[in-house]
Amino acid sequence: MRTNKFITWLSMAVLIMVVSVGCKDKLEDSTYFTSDDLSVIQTLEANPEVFSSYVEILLKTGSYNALKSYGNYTCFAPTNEAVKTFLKEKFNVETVAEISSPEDIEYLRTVVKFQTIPTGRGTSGFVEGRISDTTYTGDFLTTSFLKGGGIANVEINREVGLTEYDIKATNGIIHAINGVLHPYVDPVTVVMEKAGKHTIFVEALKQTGYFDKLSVIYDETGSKNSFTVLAESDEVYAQEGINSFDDLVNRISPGALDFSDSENELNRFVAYHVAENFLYSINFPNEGFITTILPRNAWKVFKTDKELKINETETGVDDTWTSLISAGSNLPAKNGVYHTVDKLMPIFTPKAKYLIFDLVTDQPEYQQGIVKSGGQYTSDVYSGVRWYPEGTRRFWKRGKELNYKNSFFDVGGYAWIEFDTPIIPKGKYEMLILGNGGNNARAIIQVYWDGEPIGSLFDMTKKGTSIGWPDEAIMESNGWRHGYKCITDNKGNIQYDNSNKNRFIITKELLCPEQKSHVVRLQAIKAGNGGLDFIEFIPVIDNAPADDSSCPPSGDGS
Amino acid sequence: MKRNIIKIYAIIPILFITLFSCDTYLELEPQDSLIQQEFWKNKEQVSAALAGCYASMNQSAFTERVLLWGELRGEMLVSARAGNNYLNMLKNYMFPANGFVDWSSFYKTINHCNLVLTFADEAQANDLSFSEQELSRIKAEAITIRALVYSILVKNFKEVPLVLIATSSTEADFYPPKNTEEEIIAQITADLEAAVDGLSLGFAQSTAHDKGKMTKGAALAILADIYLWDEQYDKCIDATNRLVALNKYSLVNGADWFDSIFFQGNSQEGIFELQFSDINTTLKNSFYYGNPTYLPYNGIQQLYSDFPDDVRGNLGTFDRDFNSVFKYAGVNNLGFYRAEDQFYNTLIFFRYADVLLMQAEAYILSTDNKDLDKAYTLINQVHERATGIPLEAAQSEGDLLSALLVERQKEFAFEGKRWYDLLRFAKRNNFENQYLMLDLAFEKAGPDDYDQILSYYTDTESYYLPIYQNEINLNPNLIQNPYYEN
Repeated sequence: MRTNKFITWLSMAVLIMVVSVGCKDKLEDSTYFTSDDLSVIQTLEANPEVFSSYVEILLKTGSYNALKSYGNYTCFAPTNEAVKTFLKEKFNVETVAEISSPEDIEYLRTVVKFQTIPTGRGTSGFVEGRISDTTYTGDFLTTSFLKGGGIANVEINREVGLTEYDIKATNGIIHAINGVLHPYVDPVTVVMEKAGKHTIFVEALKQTGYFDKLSVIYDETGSKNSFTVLAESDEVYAQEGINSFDDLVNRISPGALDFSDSENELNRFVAYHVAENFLYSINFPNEGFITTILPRNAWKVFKTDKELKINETETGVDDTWTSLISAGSNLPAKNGVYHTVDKLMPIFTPKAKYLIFDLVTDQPEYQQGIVKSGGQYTSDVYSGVRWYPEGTRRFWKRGKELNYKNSFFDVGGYAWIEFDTPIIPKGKYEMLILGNGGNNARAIIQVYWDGEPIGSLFDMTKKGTSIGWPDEAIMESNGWRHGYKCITDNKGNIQYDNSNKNRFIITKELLCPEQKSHVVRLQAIKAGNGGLDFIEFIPVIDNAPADDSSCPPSGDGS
Repeated sequence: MKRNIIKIYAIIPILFITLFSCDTYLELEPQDSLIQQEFWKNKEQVSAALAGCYASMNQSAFTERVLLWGELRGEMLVSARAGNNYLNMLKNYMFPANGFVDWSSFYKTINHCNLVLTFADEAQANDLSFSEQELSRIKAEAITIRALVYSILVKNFKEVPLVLIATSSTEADFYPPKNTEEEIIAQITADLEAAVDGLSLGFAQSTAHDKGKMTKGAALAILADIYLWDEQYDKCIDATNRLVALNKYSLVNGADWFDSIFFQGNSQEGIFELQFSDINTTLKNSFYYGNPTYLPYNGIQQLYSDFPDDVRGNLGTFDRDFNSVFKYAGVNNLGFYRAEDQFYNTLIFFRYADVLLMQAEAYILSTDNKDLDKAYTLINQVHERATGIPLEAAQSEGDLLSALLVERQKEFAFEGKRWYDLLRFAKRNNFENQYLMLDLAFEKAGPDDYDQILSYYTDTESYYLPIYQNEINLNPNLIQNPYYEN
């Protein structure tokens, strides 16, 4: 009996325990996350000894929740000491709590936005130049390796260093910085003026009126202006013996003092130093032109394996060019960036270049082996050749052809055929074409240049005798020249000596105002056979007759 | 009461049964694999375990690091299609998360060696046919492999944990801290000095055995290399002299340089070459002509241009027409290439030319045994063999050193040596020649990244690799190398 009672009590006790304890939800009051990792805010809060002040700023400016939310931010977070120094300098206070005026809080907000990028950028993507995305203020931050020592010594905006970097958070990446970044407020002109290393150039900007034009941050539509300024520092001017603004005037536009006139040489000189672009040195093209605000002018840019060359003279002897001085370059402002060039940079006119355009071997399809000599191809095989009416055409490349690179386009019976030329540097040219004339030739052609008829009729039916061959002077007056002496076939025949291989002068004054590729169309007035060899562009120098007595320069590796 | 006694009598046997009898019954051993207690019983098993030490080096994780850690940071290779980790290493932009600095394949080999060293004695006691002599040779081979691996680690990381006990028992320290460079080098040299006696002079079965296993020559070459690294020049001279005195190795003729050393492999000048029963994937992936990962840096061709007849130049080290690494990918001087399934190359660690040039370096730099004439003769042996023209004579110490560095670059291009040569030269006298490193930035930079790449080469601590982040996370006692603390 007593045992029974004991059992009863025991079971009662167990029951009570089960009821009171067992049913309790062990998970009550706890929240579960998909990840145990910390967000940007949580990471900052987990390290109060480093980031507590910045967290306060985030709270104060209402940015706290943003950095807690989903996303992939780059957060440049100043350390506590950095914030302290900044507060002292900027507001003369000790703690964030002491800041209360709306303007000051607004400034802090700008600072936070300036230090936050909406995409996560680790140090592995840092280059000598800008970070590829803009901050929430719409500015590019720069990273610089000039101090040496690798990532640990990288400077942001040449202003602050990293104390710790690539701290991963669930919604971004944190870089601790040892100073507060100063948001860009000044336009590039003012930044240059304040830096004080380009006083003569800044004075020139002012005198020519460009200072004000370049000081505009937002244009009338409200979008931000971007300027890239290449400027000579005072030091660079001094090397040229220019020690004051007056010296510069004497050098560039002696006697002409109406600097605001757009025809004034100094005005043009200054305008030539500015491009409407946002280009850190790394953003300069590998080879190409950057249009300046001086109309119809550009910087010619070429990056070699080692060096950025601006406006290389390309004369072949003692070429000169301008480079950037790294320590004085890639310096950002609110509406642009400026660089210091290493020597005086006058307006540069790129040199016209001799070009021989072989209609066969210069086609990429030929170079890639897609088309072969003698094969019949439709025009859609070529990216740079078109003809009408549709049908197949062929070319020959064989030793017996007395043509440039022993090759010619064997075309006949077309209404028109057109070729995309290689890129031609701006300049003035003579344009000539060589076709296989003579007995078999039947075509009479009008040449079109970018859609406009150019020159007189290219009559391939004309025999040598009817154009004055072999007398060079008579031929010239008829608009023809011999073929080249250095072009031979496999039997040793020379093009120059062949009365049917003459160059027709399409025009002696072809103006290419900008560097680009053009379209040459041969429109048949009378359709018929006529092999096409090459088209050449000979630079006209100082309006003197072009010298083409020697062989075509074979810079393209014939 | 009586009943109770019966009960007790009944209980006692039951107790006994439950307490003891189950013992063997519960101890089940796997039937389809060996366990440690059953292994280590005889000579054959120990030999097999030693073969495992060699085989562990045959992994591409190991060979790839041996080759590329020695090449990428120098001015030898450019990328055709290398991955990010390698591209970063090409510009010495290293950080702990870069998986290519993971050293685990090296410690795997070390552990294989440690296992042999721990258990070989036991097996020998068990196996009457296992002679003392064989035991000491096997242990010496394991020690030499381990020393080789540590020598690679110390040159790359400067400080690594010195693990000398197999992680098979609880005695092993699972969280070893780093040892100093000094301690590691002392261990390597002491191990090797002791091992040399136990090692065989060679193996008669085949050249693959002879070159592919650790021999006296191999141990002395590793020893000379580490003495040179540690600036113990007299000891380096001594080690190389002992190696020469083995009378086993000699330079191949210039005409056979490519064919014998690289195409055939296991030449008379080979000292230790890792053998591959299958394809040498590291060399294939890096240099196979059809799809190379790396191409020679464009200064390489120029390097040989002073001596047009240098057998190491066009169609030796590189192919001028295709700018490829010909040393491993080529077949003969007609410009034929190995097919993808023909990369049976050995991986050369040391060859006789290296020993001669190490000795030359030691003769130039030794205080007590300085002998520039001897050094000149040694350098010239290697130079003249390849070019047919003697080296310019009567040079100053500095000129000789420069000539030596260039000769090493030409002779051992793409053999995983260049970076260590540069670092060894640069770091002497508290980085007196740091310019060797800084110049690399100019060689490697394009128009936009000179400052950036220069920056990666400015800190002398950056010449040593970071410890892989995983290792740091797993082992609380490991401290990251100085340049990489963040």
